[in-house]
Amino acid sequence: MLEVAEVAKSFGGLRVLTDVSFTAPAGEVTALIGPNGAGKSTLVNLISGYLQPNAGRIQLDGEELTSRPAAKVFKMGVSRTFQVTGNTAELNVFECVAMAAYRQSKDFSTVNRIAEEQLRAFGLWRYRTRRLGDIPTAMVRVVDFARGMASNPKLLLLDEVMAGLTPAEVDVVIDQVRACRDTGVAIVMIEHVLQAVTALADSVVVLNNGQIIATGSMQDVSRSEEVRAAYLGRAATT
Amino acid sequence: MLMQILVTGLLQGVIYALIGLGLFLVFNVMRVVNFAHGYFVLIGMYGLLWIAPTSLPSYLVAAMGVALFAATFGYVIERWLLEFTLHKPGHAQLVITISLGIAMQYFFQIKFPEPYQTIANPWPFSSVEILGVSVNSGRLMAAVISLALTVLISWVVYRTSLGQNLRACSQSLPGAVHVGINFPRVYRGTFAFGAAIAAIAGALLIPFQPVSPHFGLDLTIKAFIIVVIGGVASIWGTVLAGLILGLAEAAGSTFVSGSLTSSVIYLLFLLVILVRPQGLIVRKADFA
Amino acid sequence: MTTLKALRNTTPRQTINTLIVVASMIGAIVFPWVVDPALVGVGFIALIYAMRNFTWNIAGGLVGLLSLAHVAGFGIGAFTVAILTWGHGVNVWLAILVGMLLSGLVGIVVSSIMSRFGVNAFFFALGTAALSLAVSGIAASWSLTGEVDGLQNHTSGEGLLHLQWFLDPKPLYYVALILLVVIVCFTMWLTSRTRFGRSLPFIREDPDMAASMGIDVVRNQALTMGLSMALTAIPGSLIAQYTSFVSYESVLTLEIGILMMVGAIIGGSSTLAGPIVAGIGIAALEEGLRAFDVTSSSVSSITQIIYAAIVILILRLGADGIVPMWNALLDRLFPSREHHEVEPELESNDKEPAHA
Ligand SMILES: Nc1ncnc2c1ncn2[C@@H]1O[C@H](COP(=O)(O)OP(=O)(O)O)[C@@H](O)[C@H]1O
Ligand SMILES: [Mg+2]
Repeated sequence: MLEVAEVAKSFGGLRVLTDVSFTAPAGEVTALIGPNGAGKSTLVNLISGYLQPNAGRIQLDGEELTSRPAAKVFKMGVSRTFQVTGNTAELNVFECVAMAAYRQSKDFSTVNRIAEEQLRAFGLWRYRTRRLGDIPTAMVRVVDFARGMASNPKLLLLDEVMAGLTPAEVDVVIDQVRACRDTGVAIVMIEHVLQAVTALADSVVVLNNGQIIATGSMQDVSRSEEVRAAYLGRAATT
Repeated sequence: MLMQILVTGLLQGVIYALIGLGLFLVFNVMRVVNFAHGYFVLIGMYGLLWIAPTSLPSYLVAAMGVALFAATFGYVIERWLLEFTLHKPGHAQLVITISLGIAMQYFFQIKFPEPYQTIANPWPFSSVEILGVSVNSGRLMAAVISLALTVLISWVVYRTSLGQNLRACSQSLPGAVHVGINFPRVYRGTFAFGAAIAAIAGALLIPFQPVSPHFGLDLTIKAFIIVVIGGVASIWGTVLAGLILGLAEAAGSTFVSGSLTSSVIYLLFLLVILVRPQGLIVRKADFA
Repeated sequence: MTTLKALRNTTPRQTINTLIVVASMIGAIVFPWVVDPALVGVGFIALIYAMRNFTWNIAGGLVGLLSLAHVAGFGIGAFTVAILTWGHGVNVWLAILVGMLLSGLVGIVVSSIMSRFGVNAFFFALGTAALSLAVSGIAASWSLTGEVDGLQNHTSGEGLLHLQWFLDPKPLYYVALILLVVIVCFTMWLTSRTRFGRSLPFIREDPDMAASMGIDVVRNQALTMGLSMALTAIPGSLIAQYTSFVSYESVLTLEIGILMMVGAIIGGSSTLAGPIVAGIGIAALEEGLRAFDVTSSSVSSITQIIYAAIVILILRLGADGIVPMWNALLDRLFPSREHHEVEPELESNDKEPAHA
């Protein structure tokens, strides 16, 4: 179980997150939603050790993640996807997934077998010899997801992996998220594709202006006035 | 001996400052890391060696000629080899300027196989006594002219509208574009200007400093030392760093062999890079 | 790398490249017997260039550390042999190992310090250049390294144990060839089979992402730099044994360091074959110019200029180097079957591969 307690983060003078607390239990999908710029990606960056919080604590199954470097956090069982993939165009799809599988095994052929399993499960096998730059951008995030799965994580952080996918592809990914959840992984999913949130989320955390304004089931939060004002209302108009 | 160090160090330092200034402008305005800068100094040195002026007027004309040539050369280089690398990731710029420098070095090697040549002293007096130290007239005049040029350049940068454009591009390119500055032109101009300054420094050096093709690399590194130590804040940091380098060299070479002195300077520079990559002399305002 | 992949799943490009590798191996083996004895020395120099570029590229190409410190490793390799073997009678192979160790240590320390202070690529190049110049200056003024006059080999032992043959250059040529093959095979194994080696492209492309995949970026960078510089000491030692003379000017000038970098980039620093192709190319170019009756001092100058011009041209055209260009050409001439495997209904939203 992931526990985030009173986490705050600011960049220079800009306060991006204030007093954020929530939990994401194992074997459940926790959807993190909120308008653009709410601080969702920043929260993922904090949990995965990519950034350090200014205040607050982050724990996974009682173990401290706060102020651990990213590589250590990964070894402790946190896998993440990147919303914006920077300079990764040259990287090979198969190698990406295989590299993450080294968390499970040190053995060359085992690692390759895990990578193959994951690529096949996600329907990515045909891309295995390609560079990330040569496959559709939406697929890069699915590769990222497969990469996360290959590490057999305790916590999986998915940052808008479904953006830009066709409905058929969304279904494949939804099945994968379900399968992953059923193995007891805690999943934190940032998602704008409502089809996915409705289908998957066991609980929803709504973030706005760096603060949590509602938590609960999808039905609960969509009834909240504040959420409508902050998020659903705005999403409907844009 | 102290006087000797002080006088030769400062005189050499002023010329270093001028060389560093050219790199400073290019580095600051364009964020281009020009590893060929030292070789632009060689254009001045070998240019005069080739022209071989025999009188003071012909020397001055030749110096202006090589400056003009270097400016044109710099313009072409910027336009055709560097412009496409600007504001792009990757190391193309670094490798291109290094390779350009190497190509120039070996070109000079072929053209001027005889090493360590100088030209006849163009100045009408041979040496003067300063603070009890006898100074070669070439060295003295090089320092005087370098100082004058440094003051002139800082006046241009800080007091004219041309300089305002430079500073605008240096501080914020989007801002400069917003107020309607044609930045590619400013960039080309800056690079050409930087090359011309370097060539003039070369022309000033050649009467008393025998030239060899591998000086290019040494001077490039020295210019970087000056810019890094001087920081990006102001021209005066660069000038001060040039003087420090000149003094350090003069002091070093009185006690140990020349190559060991440079070794120590390079190692100190490495230290500066590590602890203060933003420069030793930092002022609050950014190049303003 | 080319051969390993070719064994797994062959595309026409890989088949052709495998044939080329096999053919050039055979060519390299018979070379000393079919050419004029004077050309064997040229072959040896070509192998040294290839080895130098290749070992630079382990850090420069695989991890993207634009290092100019490698010439220090090259020089350390040469001077260790000169001091230990020529001066103190230590076995030359032992001296080579010591040189590799020292050079590797320098690499590890340099990389660790640079990472510790968060130095960017430009300051890395500048700082390593300053280091090489400093080392060069020390070698030029230290009696141990012969100051400006350098050190001369007066030992008389001959044979493999002494790595010295007085009349016939062939054995040394084969030693260089075998070492090059060993280094290449080792690197291929490292980059395709080990976790450490497979992590290197991730560090090069995106260190932050690499860290979030559990890769110890700082450590792996330092180890790669150490390995790369340790291996660069080998061609330094070999050239010392070949010329029986070492001075700071012959093995420790920054120009040599720049040439390693430029050579690897011309050949294609993203490939393993590229730096070797470029190394052999420049040796051939030098020899070709000699055939044109150019004076010997100008030969190396002209090749350097051509070299610089080629690298500028390659970068200006946005190309990746000779070997990647060659691969792209092959892919265009013989489109791989890979493309047809893609299920038709999904192909529509599929971007064309870059090489098609
Ligand atoms: N590295 C950074 N430096 C400064 N500001 C940042 C940085 N990363 C994010 N921000 C700011 O933090 C806010 C939240 O961003 P982000 O977490 O990406 O939002 P979301 O993912 O919810 O759209 C935005 O206003 C963004 O501009
Ligand atoms: Mg986001």
